[in-house]
Amino acid sequence: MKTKSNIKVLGIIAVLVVILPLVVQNSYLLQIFINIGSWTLISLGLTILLGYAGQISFAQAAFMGIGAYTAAIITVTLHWPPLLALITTAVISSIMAFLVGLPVLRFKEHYLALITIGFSVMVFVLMNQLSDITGGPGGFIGVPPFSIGSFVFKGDIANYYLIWGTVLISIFLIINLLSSRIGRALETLRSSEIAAKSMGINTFLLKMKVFIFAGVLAGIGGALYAFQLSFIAPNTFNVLESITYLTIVVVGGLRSVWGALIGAIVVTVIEKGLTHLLPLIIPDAGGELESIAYGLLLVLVLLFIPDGLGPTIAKSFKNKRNMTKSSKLKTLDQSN
Amino acid sequence: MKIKKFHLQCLILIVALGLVLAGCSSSSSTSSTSSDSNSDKTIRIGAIWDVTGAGSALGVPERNALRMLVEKTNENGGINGKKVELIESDNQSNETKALTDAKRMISQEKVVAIIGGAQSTTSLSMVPTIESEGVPYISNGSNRGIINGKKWAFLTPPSDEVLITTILKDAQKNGIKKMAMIRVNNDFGKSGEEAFKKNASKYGLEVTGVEQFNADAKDVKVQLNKLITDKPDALIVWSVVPGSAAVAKDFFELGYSDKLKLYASSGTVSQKFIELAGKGSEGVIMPTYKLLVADQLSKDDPQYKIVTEFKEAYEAKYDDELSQFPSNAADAWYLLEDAIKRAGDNVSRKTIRDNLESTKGLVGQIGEYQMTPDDHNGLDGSGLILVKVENGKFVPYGYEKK
Amino acid sequence: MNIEQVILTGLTNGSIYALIAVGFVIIYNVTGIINFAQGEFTMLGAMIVISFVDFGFNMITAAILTIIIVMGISTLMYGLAIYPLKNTKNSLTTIMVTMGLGIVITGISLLIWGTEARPLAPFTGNRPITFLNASISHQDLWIIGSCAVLVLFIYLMFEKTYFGMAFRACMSNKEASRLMGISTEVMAMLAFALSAGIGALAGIVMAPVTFAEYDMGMMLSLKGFVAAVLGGLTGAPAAIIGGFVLGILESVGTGFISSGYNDFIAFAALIIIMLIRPSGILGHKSIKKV
Repeated sequence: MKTKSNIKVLGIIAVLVVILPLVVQNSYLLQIFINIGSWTLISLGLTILLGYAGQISFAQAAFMGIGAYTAAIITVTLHWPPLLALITTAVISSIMAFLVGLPVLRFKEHYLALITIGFSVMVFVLMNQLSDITGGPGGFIGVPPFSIGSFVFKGDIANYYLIWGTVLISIFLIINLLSSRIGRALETLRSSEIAAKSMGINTFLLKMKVFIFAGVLAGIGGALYAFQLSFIAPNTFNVLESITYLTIVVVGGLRSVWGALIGAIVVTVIEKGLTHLLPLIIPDAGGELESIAYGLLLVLVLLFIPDGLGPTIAKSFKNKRNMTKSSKLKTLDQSN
Repeated sequence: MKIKKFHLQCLILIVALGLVLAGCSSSSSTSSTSSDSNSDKTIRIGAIWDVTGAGSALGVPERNALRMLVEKTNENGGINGKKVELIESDNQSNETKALTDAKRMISQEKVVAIIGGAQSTTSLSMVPTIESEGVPYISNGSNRGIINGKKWAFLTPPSDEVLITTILKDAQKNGIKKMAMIRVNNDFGKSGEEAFKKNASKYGLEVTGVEQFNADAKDVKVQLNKLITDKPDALIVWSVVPGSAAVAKDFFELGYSDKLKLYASSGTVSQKFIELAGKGSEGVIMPTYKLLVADQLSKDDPQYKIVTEFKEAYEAKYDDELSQFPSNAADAWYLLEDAIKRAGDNVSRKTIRDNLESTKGLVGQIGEYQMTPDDHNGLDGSGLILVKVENGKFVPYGYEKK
Repeated sequence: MNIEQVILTGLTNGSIYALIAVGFVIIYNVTGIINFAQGEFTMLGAMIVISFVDFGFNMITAAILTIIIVMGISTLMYGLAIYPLKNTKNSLTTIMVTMGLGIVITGISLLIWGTEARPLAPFTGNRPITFLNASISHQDLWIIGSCAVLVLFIYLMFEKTYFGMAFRACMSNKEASRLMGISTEVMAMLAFALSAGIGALAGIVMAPVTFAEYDMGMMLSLKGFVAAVLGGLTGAPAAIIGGFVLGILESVGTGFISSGYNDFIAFAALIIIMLIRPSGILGHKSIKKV
C-alpha cells in the first residue's frame, strides 16, 4: 500500500521534473534545481543510515569528493569514456565505504562518527597533497561533460535531466528496497537492535549494506557534480561540508524516502530566500546571517518537529482532514 | 487510500515550496528584459566576492574597493552619462555557490560584465560558464588557468612567479646562496612553492627545504626548526595573514630573526600582519603593490597619483586595516570602466570584451596594462615594489626616489 | 630534527585538545550528550577575552569575566535548547541540536567580530625559554600549566566535594542518584556550565599563540571529540591523555614525516589505535553497543 502510493508520488514528481525545464528557461533557476538534485542524491543514503541504522556519518562530503576526483582523473588523465568513469566511481566508493564501515559498524554511533571524521580528514589531505594526480589545492581543471556514446550532456538542461534522472532512479530503488525483506529487517532494526538480533538478522551486515549504499550514491553525486562544473577543488569536500548534508536529512525528515528531497528543497529555499530578501533589509548582509538562519532552522526543527518537516506536515494535513470528516458526520447526524 | 492522499499532500508541499523558490528568485529581476543589452539609463555590473569563509581576507577589501570606485563614478555622472548599477553577491568562498551566483548574474540580472572571485578556486569554477555564455569577466585570482586560452576571462593580480622573482632578485643582490620556504597548505601556498622551485636556480639559489602548515593550525615551531637544520641563509613565508603572522611570530620567538632574513609573500602586506605578528614583523621584506606605501613614493612615479588618491579615499571611508588587496579590485574597475567608456553608445558584452582585450597603456595601481589576445593580464611586474617593516610601518625597500 | 621540540609542541597543542576533550567527557558522562558546540566555547573564550583586553581591562579581570560570560551562554543554551529534549531517547537529535547551536554561535560571532583574525599579547615575556634542546615560549608554558592546574582542580572537585560526588553518582547511575534526591537536570546544567568554563579557559590561554577567528570552533570541536573518544569517553584523565596523544601524533607527523601529511598521519594512527583498543586508551573493556 505504502509502496504503491510512494511510487505514484514518484511518478508525479517525475512528470514535474520533466516539465520544469520547458517552463523555466533560465540557467540560474536550472542551476538551483541541479544543486537541489545533487544535494538530494548525496543525502539520500544518509536518511536510511541515520533513520534506520541510527548511525551518524560525517563522510558524505568525502565520498562525494572521491566520486568527483575519480571521475575527473579517469576521464582526463586516463582518457576513459565518462560512462565507464561513472561505473568505476560507484565501485571505488563502495570499496571505500566497505573499508570504513568494516571495523566500526558493530558499535554504537560515536565510533562511526569518529572514524568518518578521520576518514574525511585523510581524504582531504590526499586531495591536497597528491597534486600530480589531483591538481592539489588549486583544483582540477577541465573535466569533460558526461556522455553516453556520442550523446554529450552539455549545457544546463542536459545536466538537469541527468542529475534528476539519477535522483528518481535512486528514490525508486530505495522504495523497492524498503518494501523488500531488507526493508522489513531495517524496520525491526530501527525499533530495537536487540530484537533484530534475536530474530536472526545480521545487523552488522545490514548496516554495512546501508552504509555502502549511502557512500555509492554520494560518490555518483560527486561524479555528476564534476561533470557538470568541469572544475573541482578540495574545499567542496571538506569534512565540515558534511554537516550540510546532515542538516538536510534532519530537516527533511529521517526514515522517509522523501526526507532528503524535502530537506534539500527547504534548505535551498531558505538559503536563496535569504540571499534575495536580506539585502533589502540589511544592505551589508553577507553569508553570516544565512548561517545563523541555517543553524536556527536545524535547532528549531529538532526541538519542535523532531520527525522532520516532511512527515510532520503530512500528518497535520491528515489530522485536519479527519477533523473535517468528523465534523461533516456531525452535521449529517444533526440533519438527520 | 488515506496514505495515498497523505503523500499527495506531501507532494503539494514540495510543489508549493518550489514555486516559492521560483517566485523568490524571479522577483529580483523584473527590470531588465532583453538578453545582454542594458536598459538605456544604467549599466549593470555583477560583483561576486568571497566575503565570508576562507577567502574573506581578500574578498572584503576587494568588495569595499569596488563599491567605493563605482560610487565615485556615479557621483561624477556615470560612464558616458549612464549610471552604473552594481549587483553584489557573497559566494561564501564556495565553488558551487560561485557558479550559481555567476549564472544568476548572467541569466537573471542580465549584467554586461562580471568582476570578482577573490580566490583562484572560486574564479575557476565560474570560468567555463562565463566562456560558454560569453560575458566579459575580470577575476582577482592569480592562477593563470583562469585566463590561459580563454576568450572572455581577464585578471588583474600579477602571477606568483613575477612576485617570487622580485624576492629572488633581491636575495641574489644580498649574496644569499641557500633559501628555504614555509608555505600555507592551500592553492596560494602551492603555487608559491612551484614558482619558487622553478625559478630559484636562475638566481643562483639553492632550495634547502619546503615545509607546509595548515591555515588553521598556527604553531609552526616544528616546521621552522626542521627548515633551520639545513642552514639556509634566508626564509620565505608564502601565506596570507594570519598564517604568515604566525610564522613571523614563531620565527622571532625562536630567535632566528637576528640571524637570517625573512621574506614574505605579497599576501602578507597589511597592517593586520604588523598587529598580529608584533615584534616578529620587524625587518620582514615582501613584494607588493605600491598602495601601502603610497605616501612614501617619489612624485614622479607613474602610479603615484592613482595610489595616493585611492589610499586617502579608502582610509577615509573604511576602518578595516589597509592591505594590498583593494588594488586588485580597483584595477579591475579601471580596466572595465575604460572599456565601457571606449564602447560609447554601443555597450554590450561583446564590445566590452573586445575593448578589454585592446587595452593599451592603462596605468593601474598594480602596473601598466598592455593586453593582447594571448595575455589577458598584461602586467610585466615593473609596477611592483619591495617593502620592509620598520618600527611597525611599511617602508619602501631598495626603492630609488627619483 | 630534535625530538624535544616535537614533544613540546605536541604537548602544547595536546593541552588545548585535552581541555576541549574534558568538556566533551563531562557533558557526555552526566547527560549522555555529545556536545558539538564545545569548540565554540573555546572560540568565544578567545574572542571575548580579546574584546575585554582591548576595552582596557587587565588580563585577570578579563579572563574571569570571560569565563563567567561563556558559562552563562552555555547555561542559556542548555535551558533553551537542550533541556526541552530531556525526554528524547534518540541521541542523534541532541547531537544535531548541538551542531545547529554551534553554527548559530559561529554566525553570531561573525556578525559581532567580523572575519579578521584578532591578536592577544602573551601573558608574560616574549622571548622563549630554552629547555633541553628545545625552545618553548612563555605562553606555551601557560597553556600546559593551565591544563595541569585544571587536572588537579577536577580531581579535587570530583573526589573531595559534595558536588563532585553528586556528579559521579549521576555519571554512574542516573536513576539511583535521582532516588537519592540529586536533580539530574540541575547536574546536567552544571555540567554544561563547567564544560563551557573549561572550554573558555582553553580559548583564553591559546589566543596569544593562535590568534582568534570566528570560524575556529568547529574544527576544535572535531579534534576535541576525537581526543575524547580516543580516551574512551569515560572520564577526565582519559580525555586528557587522549588530547596529548592526538597533539603528539600531529607534531610527530609534522616533524619526522611530512608537514603536508601531518593530519593524515595523526588520523591514520588514531584509527589504528581505535581498531586495536575500540574502548579507547583507558576505556573499559565493555563497549556501549546499544
